[in-house]
Amino acid sequence: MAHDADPDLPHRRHPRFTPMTLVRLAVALLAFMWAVPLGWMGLMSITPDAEIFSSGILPSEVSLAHYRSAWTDIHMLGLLANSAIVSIAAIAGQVFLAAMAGYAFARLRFPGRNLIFGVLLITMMVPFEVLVIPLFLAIQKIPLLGGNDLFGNGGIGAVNSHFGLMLPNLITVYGVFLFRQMFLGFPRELEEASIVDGASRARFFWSILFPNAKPVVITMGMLAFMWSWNDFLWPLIIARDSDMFTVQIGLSSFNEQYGTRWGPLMAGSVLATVPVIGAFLLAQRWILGSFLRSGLKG
Amino acid sequence: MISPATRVTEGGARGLSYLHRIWEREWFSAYRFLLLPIALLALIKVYPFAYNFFLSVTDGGFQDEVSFAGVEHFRELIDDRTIRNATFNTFYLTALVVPIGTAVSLFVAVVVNDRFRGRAGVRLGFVLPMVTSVVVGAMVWDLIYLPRGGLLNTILASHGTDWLQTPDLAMPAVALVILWSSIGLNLLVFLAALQDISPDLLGAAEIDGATRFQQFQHVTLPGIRHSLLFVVATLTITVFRSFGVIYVLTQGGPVQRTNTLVWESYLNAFGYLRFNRAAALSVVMVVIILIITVVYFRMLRSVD
Repeated sequence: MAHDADPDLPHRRHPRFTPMTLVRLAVALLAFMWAVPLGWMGLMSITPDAEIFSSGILPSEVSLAHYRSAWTDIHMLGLLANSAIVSIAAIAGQVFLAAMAGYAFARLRFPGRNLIFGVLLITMMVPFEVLVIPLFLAIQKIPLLGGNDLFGNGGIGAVNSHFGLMLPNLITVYGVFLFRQMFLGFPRELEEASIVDGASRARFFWSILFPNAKPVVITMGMLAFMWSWNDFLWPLIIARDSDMFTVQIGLSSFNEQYGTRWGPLMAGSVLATVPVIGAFLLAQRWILGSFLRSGLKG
Repeated sequence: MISPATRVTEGGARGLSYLHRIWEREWFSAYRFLLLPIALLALIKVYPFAYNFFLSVTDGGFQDEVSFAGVEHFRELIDDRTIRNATFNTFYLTALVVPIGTAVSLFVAVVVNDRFRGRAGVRLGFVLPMVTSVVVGAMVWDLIYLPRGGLLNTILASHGTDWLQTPDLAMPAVALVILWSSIGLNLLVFLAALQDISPDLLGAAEIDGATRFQQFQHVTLPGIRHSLLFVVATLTITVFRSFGVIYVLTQGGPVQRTNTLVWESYLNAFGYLRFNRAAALSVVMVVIILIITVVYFRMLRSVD
């Protein structure tokens, strides 16, 4: 039997049972264990109430009652709508605004470029959790919103509003960085040629450069969606009334109020998770490629 | 997206053509592109960062009168037993998560880097928890940890163990959930780094009679040292920031055994409305994270 000559498989031996097979089985088992909680979530969402606490694993019948009560009791539709509104704004901002800034930092010379970029890189190291308090206080004082006067006093500002929920998700330094890396690798001749032809920089950017950054656009759009959809701390602070709750806040507050109603909670969790997992599976190819290759590597 | 000046210059007005030349100058274009992004980043990143420092050395300063407090809040923090306990808990959680999380994700990455049937499925198993929200993940684990009828007790046949309310078990239970959700990302980072190791080098080592472990030790490990440091640093910061898991599972309890710095800072701000003290605590966390980052970059340089 000849060795496989496939250059992609440098150290594959004969497909026989080797010690490596055992190691792979062990890792596969671990992967299965990692998938168990999500499987359990799905299983419990269709298990009738009476059997959730029984010692058996599989339910005796499939029940969709929990999905009905997730819809009526947790008001999933409103929660999903709020999450969608915030996420769409986050995707738009984190793609378009970050692309614009990334282009300026990658391609244009201007006074203060290194200083501004340096400051941005430093803020990238400060996690959001430690900025939450001052950001909340600042957002409370935005003038002319939420009953505030011209000086930002008297009302609640952007607290308990969609705008307040969106604001910190509209741009990330990480996105700016990712687009900058992308544009640095784009041939400069094309830019010079189209500028000589009389196109403005804005026109060149939007009609030539931006469409060519598709892998980063998809990656960043996906990450923006995932981050804003799954965000918890910020909406927890900003959304006061249940009509401003995002999916994550709605579920956790239902959990606090009716801690024992696991069925509807798991059904709601499934509904909250399916969009992100779906989007991830669709964008997986690009994420695994560009997101890791260009930015995150140490 | 043609600038308004372009159309008018065709009329030949010299003043406008001059404006147009400036409008298309490189530096002016740059500021046009940057105006909105930088204004936003200044509002949501730079300003809160500075305001945080201001709050930490004052009393008030958000709704009412401001007075200078100096290092008073910081001194109180140092004297406070709750804070000392939260600091200990934070480092304890880090010690539980970071070594295991790094080792497991590296091990899995090395195994999954080979091609074999089902490797995509294995990778997906680890990556899906990363995509799942912290709240949903923590609630599912809450159900799994239930003393009566919870999956964990069913599997272990350990009836009635209350994982989240037993003081010695609560933090390991929290750590497991963070491990569960964080391995996927680290796995992907390691996988990307492993792609860059030349197969020729591993092949040569194999021909020289190196075992799998020796190959790993002398070829793979030096080849991914940057990513290894990166994972350790980012995972440490991930643990420091972990909020949702603690919010859903334990709220700092039982008897403050899972009370971490992030939780304590949230509690001070939005539970007790002591914003200045919470800001001081945030400053402490910024300093700790800064130290981690500096150590990370130092080590990055020293392994080159």
